[in-house]
Formats: sequence, structure tokens, C-alpha cells
Amino acid sequence: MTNKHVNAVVVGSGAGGGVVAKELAVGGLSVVLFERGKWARYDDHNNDELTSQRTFPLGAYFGPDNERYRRVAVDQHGNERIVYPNDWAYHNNAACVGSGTVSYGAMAWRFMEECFKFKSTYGHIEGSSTADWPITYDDLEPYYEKAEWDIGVAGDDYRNPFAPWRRRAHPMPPFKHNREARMLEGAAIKAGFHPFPIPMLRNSIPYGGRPPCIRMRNCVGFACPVNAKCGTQNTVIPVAIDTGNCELRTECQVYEVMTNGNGRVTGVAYFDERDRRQVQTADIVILSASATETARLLLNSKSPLFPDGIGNSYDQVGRNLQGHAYCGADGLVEEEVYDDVGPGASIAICDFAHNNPGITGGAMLANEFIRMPYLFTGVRPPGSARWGKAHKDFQKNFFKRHVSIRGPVQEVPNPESRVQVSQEVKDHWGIPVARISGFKLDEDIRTARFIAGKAEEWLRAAGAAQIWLSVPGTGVSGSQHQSGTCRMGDDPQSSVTNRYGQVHGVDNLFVADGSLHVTNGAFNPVLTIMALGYWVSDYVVKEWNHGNRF
Amino acid sequence: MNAKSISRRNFIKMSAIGAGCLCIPGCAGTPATYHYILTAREAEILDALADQIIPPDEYAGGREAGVTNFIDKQLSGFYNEHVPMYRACLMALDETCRDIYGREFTVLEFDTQTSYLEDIESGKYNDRDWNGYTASSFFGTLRNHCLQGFYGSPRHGGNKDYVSYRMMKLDYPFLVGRNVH
Repeated sequence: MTNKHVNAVVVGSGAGGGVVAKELAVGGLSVVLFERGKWARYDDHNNDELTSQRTFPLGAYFGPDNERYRRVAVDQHGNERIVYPNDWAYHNNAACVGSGTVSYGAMAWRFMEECFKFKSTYGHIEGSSTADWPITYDDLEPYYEKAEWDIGVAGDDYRNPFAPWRRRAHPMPPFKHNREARMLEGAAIKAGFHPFPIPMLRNSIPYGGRPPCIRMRNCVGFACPVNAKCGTQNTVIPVAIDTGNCELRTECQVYEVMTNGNGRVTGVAYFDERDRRQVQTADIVILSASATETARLLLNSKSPLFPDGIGNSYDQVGRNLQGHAYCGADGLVEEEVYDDVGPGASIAICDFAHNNPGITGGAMLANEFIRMPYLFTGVRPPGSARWGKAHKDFQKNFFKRHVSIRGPVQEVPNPESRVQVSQEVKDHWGIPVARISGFKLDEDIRTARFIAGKAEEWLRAAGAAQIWLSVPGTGVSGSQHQSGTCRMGDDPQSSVTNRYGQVHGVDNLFVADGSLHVTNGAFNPVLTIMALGYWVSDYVVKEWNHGNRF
Repeated sequence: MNAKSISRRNFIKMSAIGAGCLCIPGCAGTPATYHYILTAREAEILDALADQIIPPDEYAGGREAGVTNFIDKQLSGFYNEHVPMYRACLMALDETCRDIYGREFTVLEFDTQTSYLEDIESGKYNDRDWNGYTASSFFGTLRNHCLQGFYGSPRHGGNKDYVSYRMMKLDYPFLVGRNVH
């Protein structure tokens, strides 16, 4: 059976792809939105920590599964091993309709103006491929606004003196702090910091036809039982489908972007839900499959004109993989501060996101999401018992007296942190899998140490009795904040797409996900990925309506 | 009396009879515990290990919380690949124990068991061949699995009656929309 030709194929229904599908469908293009996973339902996993997207010893419920998916992880000594989705070295995000936006913590950060000008702000760093974005915060600002109002964000940036400028306030008021955040608020002010409520893609009031948040403990890593968390699966994707222009095709694994003899993209090849090979032709293709899978798809799309993969003429696809150099501090306090008001993360400061003298970059700092009981078994001061009576007593005595501050340190991109395709290992469908290798630069660790020290200051001001710091190792990062592998830029020799996400040299092929990030910001990246979805779509739809067929 | 209430009353009566009938084969004494994968001896050792990882106090320990049941259930499913390791290492753990202490692991004093496991964890017996496995790395996996069984959701066979949640003063079971204070 041949599939009917459409105007656009979008691969991946996460933060980027969900937005693109909606914008294109509303703009009048016929769209097929591909998702390799299924619809995820709260009832199928409810409050099961062992299969949550946060701790997944028994497999990540939101996908992908361990049976069909694998990758190759390369450590810093060059040792390779095959890894499965429930291994941290797999760098999993998710595979379901809405992808990571179903189970995420839903922090809704705008990057700061400096985040887009990393190189001109901090200069060249040895061993890095640092660069400025080809677009500025001012370019993206209207699209951040669109994401905030279309998908729904609760927040109050006016209480953050370091917030970038904005035209319009958040559509929903911020959340009230839980007990821990109320305690931390006073402490932050005492320390001279500027605390404010974290902006969240979560309903604080009824919004978009969905109810407000019920402040559950099981939020990050879980689906929301009342649909108060705003993901693409319950906002833009239903709108896309409602237009009649968009077909969502789940359980379909796209494995190749197809081209003709002129180097023009003609569509995609995929395996359907019954593992049959299928082809979907389209006028344009937009890849939103995540930093790892978008790069893999481009690299696996080889043809005589593109012997090393599409868009890879200058060996740029898959390079500059980044996540965040997460760091912070943990402390134990006298009084119980846990009041079971989810999701836990509530208060943040941006005092150290940029402009730290003598330091490259920085990070926003926020209190941590609720540590569920099994996750908490790994939270201990250095040298503590890892089992036995003392371990159990700690679990019993400190669960409600533990405070954790964490910050996503913006990494300096380096070209050796990268996604390649394996020469030997193939997935269930026989397609070469992603091979992830690389490291963090010493500069990232230096910044992480500085930021962890600031988290410690905050906890000290909160009167924490025992404090211990957490600074990451030098292993490659990626995981749920993976980005950078198809970065945008004006020079085809040092980037994969132009400023509109259009792949250099292949006019009807676009990227719209975290792969585009030149640097990954001092913040959780999802709102920026959504904003880029609107940015890329806006360009595509405007051009399309002017008769441009790329 | 309408038909509905009669049928409800009868239903309860009949259920009781039904339950009695089902019970017949195992009615005498405590019903035996059946495992998918583990032998009785393996389960016995694992019970002792679970109580070492999470010792009983005013709250249940690993054994009573069903940690062995959790591990057995996972070995028959998601942790299937670990079956050979458990099989080999539980026996090797016992063998090494007889070598060092002259007795089986399960009959050692609780504190002696603890110091034996501390030695295993620190790598003291890593030069012994545990049927191709390393003692300390088996212990690391075992520890993780025990903690998962004790602190994870009861749906996987452990954390009986949400004992760990009760211990941590967390509301259980979780009722959506009801646990907000």
C-alpha cells in the first residue's frame, strides 16, 4: 500500500516536533507526524517509581523499551559497550506521544541574552568549538511568548531581576511555595540572593481546558493523572489533529531520509507498527527526533550524493553533543521541611547564571524535585553506610529533613563529544545504532565547582547542619537535556543548519529540536526547544504561503 | 427484600465457601512459599541477605517486606539475565562462608553475617572465583535489588503493605487528589 503524498513529514512528537506539526497543520500544510512510541497513560504505571523516567531499574515506562533499542556507549578510555535505555549511559529521553514533555519536571525557562552569545561573552576556550548562536534572544523572544501562551506556563519573571526582557507576562500566576521553598526563600534573601518561583509548564489555574495542578509527589518522571502538566501531547498535538491536516502515526520507526538524484529530499522510509517497511513522501521533512536520534537519522541517510549522511559534508552532524554539567549541594536541616507538596522544585535564583567574575558561564540554581524513596537511597553524605541499619535509619530520619539545591551548568561545546553511528551494532530493525562518545572540558568542571559552592552558601544560610557538594565527573553529558548535534550557524563548515533550522545545502530538510542549540543555556532547555519549534515553523509556513516549495 | 440484596448476601456466603474450597490443598499449616526461579535454599539465603541490607526494627526488614519475592519475580522477567549470576553467587557466598566461618551463612549470628558482607563489599574475597563472578560486584547488584524491592512500588512484589512508605511517613496508598494537605 502506498501512502498518500503530503506536504510535510515531522519526525518525533516531543517538544519540537509537536509544536511544528501544529503550526504547519494550522498553516494549511498537510502533515504526517511520526512517533516511534505510543500514547502514554497514567493508569498504566501510576505512581511506580521503579519504572518512572527518573529512576528506571525496571525499564523506562515512557520508552523506549529494552527489547528493541540499544546504543553504543564509549567511555573516556575508548572502551565500548552496548547499553540499553534503562542504563544512564544510553542517554535516554523518552519515546511516547509528547516524548519527554509527558513526564518532565516542566521547568519553563527562557535562556538569557548571554546564553545566545556564549563565545563573545566568554571568549574562546581551549579545546572547544564554542560559538554564538546565529540568532539572538531578541529574535526568539516572540516565540518564547508563543510557547508560553500556547502550551501554558505559570510564573512571575518580574520577581527575577536577572530575567531577560519580555513583552508579555506569563499566562498563569506562579505556584505557591512548598514548606522547603518558603524556608529557602528567607535563606536566599539572607545570603543576598534574589529568589523567585520557578516558571513551570504546569497549570496553576484552569488553562487550555485542563484543570490546575493537584501538587502530587509523583510529578517529575511521571505522567499527570489530571492532565495539569502541559506537554505537547495534551496541547499542540490535539490541536494539530483537530485541523484535519495532521495525521499522527504512532509506533513508527523512521530510519532514513530519502533523497533523489538532485540531492532533494523526497520523504522518509520507516518501519510501521508491524515492522513493515513503508515510505512516506513529502515536499519537506522536519526532524525533531532529539539530539541523538536526529543526528543518527541524518548519518544513516546515505546516498551517492551524501556518502557520509545528509547534511554532513563538513563532518559536523553529531558533533558538539551537550547536556548540562549538573552540580549542587545537599544539606540536612533541623526541622522537617518536607510537606508532600509536589513536585518539590519551587524556588530558584539566577544570580549566578552569567556574569560570574573569572568564571565561564554559570547556572540557574533551584531546589530539587521530590526524591522518591528508592532515589533517596542513593542520597547520602560521603562515607555513609550504603546498606544496613545505619542506611535504613538515615532513610527514616532524614527523608523529610533533606534539602537539595541543583543547577544545570552551561557547558562549553566541544567537537569530540559526539553522536556517530555504530559500524557493528544494529537495533531490532537492523539499523545502525547511535554511538555516543566524548567528555566535558575542564572548564565545565571548574564552573560546576563554583556553582556548587553557591548552592552550599544558600544551604548554609538556611542553617543546614551537614552539607555536601556534588560536582560532576568529566564523562560526556546528554540525557534528557541532550542538544547541539546539528547546531545552527551561518557557516556551513562549522554548523549543520542555517538560522532557520534549514539543513545547509538541502533546502527542503529542516531540524527543529535541541540539536539546533549552539550552546545549551544555563537552564533546562525545553521551552527553548518549543520556541525554536515556533521559530522554524514560522519561517516554513511564511515561505510556503509565498509559494516557496524549497 | 429485593433481588439485589439477596444476591449480595448469597454472593458473600458463596464466596466464603469458594475460598474454603480453594484452600483445601494447602490448608494444613502455613502455606508454602513458591518461587518462580529460586530454589528453597536460594530463597533462604536471600531472605537472610535482605534482612542484612534492610534489617528489621520497629518496621519490617527486607525479608518480611517481600524483597526475596520481588527479586524472584524480577528474575523471571525483567532481570532474567541476572539468573545465572544469582544462581552462581548465592551458592558461592555460602561456600566461602563455610570456608571462613565453618558454617552456613544462614546460621551465622546476625553481626557475623554483617561483617562477612562488609568484607565481601570491600573486595576481600574478590580473588576467589565465584563461578566466574566477582564477589563485590554481585553484592553491589544484590544491594540495589534489595533496596528496589523494599522502597519500590508493591506492584513488583516487595514493599509489602507499603511498609517503607509508612516508615518514611509518606501517605500510602497514593490516592490521586486526596493526599494534598
